[in-house]
Amino acid sequence: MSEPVELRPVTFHPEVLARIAPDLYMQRHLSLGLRPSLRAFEEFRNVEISDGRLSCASEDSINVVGNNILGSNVLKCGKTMVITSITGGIVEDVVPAKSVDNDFSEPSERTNRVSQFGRVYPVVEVERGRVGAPTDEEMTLSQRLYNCILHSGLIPKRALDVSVGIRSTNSEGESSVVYPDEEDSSNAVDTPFRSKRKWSYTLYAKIQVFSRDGPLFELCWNSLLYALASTKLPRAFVDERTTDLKIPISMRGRSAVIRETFEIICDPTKYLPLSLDAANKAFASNFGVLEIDPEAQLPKDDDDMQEDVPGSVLLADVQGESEEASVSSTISVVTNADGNIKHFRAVGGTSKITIEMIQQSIKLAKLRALDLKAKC
Amino acid sequence: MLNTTDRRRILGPANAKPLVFDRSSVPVEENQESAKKSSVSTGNDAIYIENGIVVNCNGSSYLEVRSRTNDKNCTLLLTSIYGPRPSRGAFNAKATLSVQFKEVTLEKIAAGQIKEICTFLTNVFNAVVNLERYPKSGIDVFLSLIHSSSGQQDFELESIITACVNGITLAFVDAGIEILDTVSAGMYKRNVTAFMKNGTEVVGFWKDDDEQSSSENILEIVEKCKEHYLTNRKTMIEFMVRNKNASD
Amino acid sequence: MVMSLTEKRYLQECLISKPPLRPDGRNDDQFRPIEVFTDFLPTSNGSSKIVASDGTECVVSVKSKVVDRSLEDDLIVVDVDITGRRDDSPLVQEIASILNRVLLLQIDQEQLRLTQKYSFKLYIDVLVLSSYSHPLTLISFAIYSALNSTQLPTLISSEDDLDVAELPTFHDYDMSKLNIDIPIMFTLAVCGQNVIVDPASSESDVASNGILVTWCKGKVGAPIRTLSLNEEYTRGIHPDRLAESIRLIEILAPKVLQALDG
Repeated sequence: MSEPVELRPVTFHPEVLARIAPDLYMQRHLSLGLRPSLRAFEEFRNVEISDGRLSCASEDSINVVGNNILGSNVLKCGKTMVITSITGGIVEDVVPAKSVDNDFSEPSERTNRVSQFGRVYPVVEVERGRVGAPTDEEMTLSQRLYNCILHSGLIPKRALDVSVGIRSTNSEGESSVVYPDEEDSSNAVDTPFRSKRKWSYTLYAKIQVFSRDGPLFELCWNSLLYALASTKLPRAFVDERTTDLKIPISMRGRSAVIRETFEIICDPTKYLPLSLDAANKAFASNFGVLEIDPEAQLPKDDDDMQEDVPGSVLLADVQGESEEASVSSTISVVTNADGNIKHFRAVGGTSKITIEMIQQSIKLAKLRALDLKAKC
Repeated sequence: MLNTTDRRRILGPANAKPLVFDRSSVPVEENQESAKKSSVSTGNDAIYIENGIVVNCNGSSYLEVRSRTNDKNCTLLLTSIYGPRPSRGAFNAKATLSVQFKEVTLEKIAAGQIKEICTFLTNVFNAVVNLERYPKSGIDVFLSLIHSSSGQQDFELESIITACVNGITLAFVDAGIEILDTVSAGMYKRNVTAFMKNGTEVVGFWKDDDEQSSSENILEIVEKCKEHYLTNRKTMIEFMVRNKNASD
Repeated sequence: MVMSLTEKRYLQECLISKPPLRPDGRNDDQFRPIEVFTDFLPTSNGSSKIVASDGTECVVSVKSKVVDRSLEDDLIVVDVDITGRRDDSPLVQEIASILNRVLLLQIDQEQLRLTQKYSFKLYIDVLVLSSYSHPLTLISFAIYSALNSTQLPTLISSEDDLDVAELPTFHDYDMSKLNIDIPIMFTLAVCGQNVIVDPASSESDVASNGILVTWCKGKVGAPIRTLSLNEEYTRGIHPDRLAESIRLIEILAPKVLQALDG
């Protein structure tokens, strides 16, 4: 007859265990009151930011031909690095023919709140050692950032208006640019031109992530916010001689096309900061909720058995493979320090998210926002 | 390419025009001056190196090349290497190497030129990496150019290529992938030469413009590149030794 | 043709020996015979077809358009299509990019000027019907012959149209020959101590490295660079090989041009 099979305990290296049984690895850590990253449950990672001196308005790059970066940010959180660069374009707005006068027509816009806010078009790329089309994660992140920026009202639409100056060249060949908001006396010169057409800036954000190590929305959001805060819009003007010039081109006598002869030129030396709505400046934090599995706890001494083990815990700033793999219930909060919540998302996975947890996560997110705002 | 809309990215309004900066008011002398400086400063760069910045790859290096004479001229390059990892498909007795290049912030190099750089670098490192050692696998190199403003624009591509060669070598060392020698590149005017075996073998030569050095003999150019190569290689080896001592 | 490891090793040994023993019996500075036909496409301004002895075949067509110079920066556009390869494959993109830049760099755009305001813009379409070795040399020969046979309509309106809103008008049937300096490019293979021109596909497969040399306006010009011919046998080369390949091209290029012109 065969010998009874003897079961021997198998031991694994922590890294191996984290790979093959992330949930068990996680539970073992939790029972010690720690997380795999050795942080406490409600502790966030430190965030380092810099503007990277990439922008064309920055002292380093001014006048470098071809640089059209308007704002930038490099955010480092743990090992993860997020590089955001803001570029711009100019788009001509459709102005209703009748509203020539300079009113900021507001009545109808009460109904459509979103139309008052500016947009940013983000493209997120996460380096993962592969080439090809964007992944689901990248597409979802981009869309979520786009929606949140728009609905948060961070950028008032007026902040993106181009106040077009006019460059005039005097008889000695020296040219000077007059901006409508700089010189009140010269209003007579520019109003006839300005009222006809209206332009606004469009902002694009390119967000590149290195060393992905957990959920990214919050990091990207914060980096984008810092980048927008550092964004400077160039002053723009048209040449005086071309403002009223239209050249009809006849194409073999068939039809006449009006060629626009003037283009909006940006001044490479003069910049105005992008004015963000300070009240709507909010920072993002994420949380995970994980139920503690009594079976997976480390064996304790008998006298400790009576101690009440909490049913589930709230973890701030989810990081690392094992945490991400075992946490399925998440909370994401975008708020400022005063509790002006811009975005809240709770995903109820396998663990129950209690009211207390939601309250606690908002409280922590507010504290974090205060901390992050100080770095701006 | 232009006619198809990209549904996977949020592109913004279709009628948006790029910003056009006025260059007529830029003081011209200043530009020329910095151009002169950068041509003199070849071979006189301060290089900052860091390893292992990207954690989810097998090896990475971060290179910051700053001209000593003009602090504003700098190239920031992040290299990460994934592999050797199993490759699918037919059996290969040797590893296949691929190089991808991407501009992370500003995009100003034409797509075709990026491809040229990639194939050039692939050719250089095909001669350098001990590919026989890694059968049935693929090694993928990803270059991310974070910033580059090496003064006069004409010089940029060549200084980027130089940085790429140096960056890839450092990343291979960090990844622990066998290479035959510490390959490094040197630049002279608009010529880049990648050397190995103490400058006796050329693994890559790139000359793109005539005007600057058309009259010079090719061997003289290679010799000038070699000087720059030797200083670059010295910096890299010093860094590796220091890194090793620190970890011991 | 895919060679076995032994065949490759044998071929490599042959090419390394001094002087190199090439499988088709050529000398190191000898090209394969090529056949060139020009001006056979009636709808294009210039065309050429080139057939190499190994069956590599390449068709080039040149078409022109009148453009406003202030709106167009690049007056020459090259489009490359290689049968059996995707348009976004590295080889196609690399060749297209090199050709575009070489032509823009080496051809004086003033030579395409028509009037004060307008210029000709040339569209060069390259179609490689079948290719067995690195097609760059052959493509550049074909472009050379096509541009050399290009006829453009003769201008009859005034050249000075700066202040006149007038489009250039052309003669009904008179054509004038396009007269520009056209660069040609050579690929060379380095095998050990030897440099051989116009490597066949089997020779490319075992070469230690490739070198691209451009010839324009009677001298060797940019770009010069090392080129990937295979992935397996790529090695470092001695700097002398670079000098040697340039010396070789300096001797050969005038002869090649003479042959192409003749």
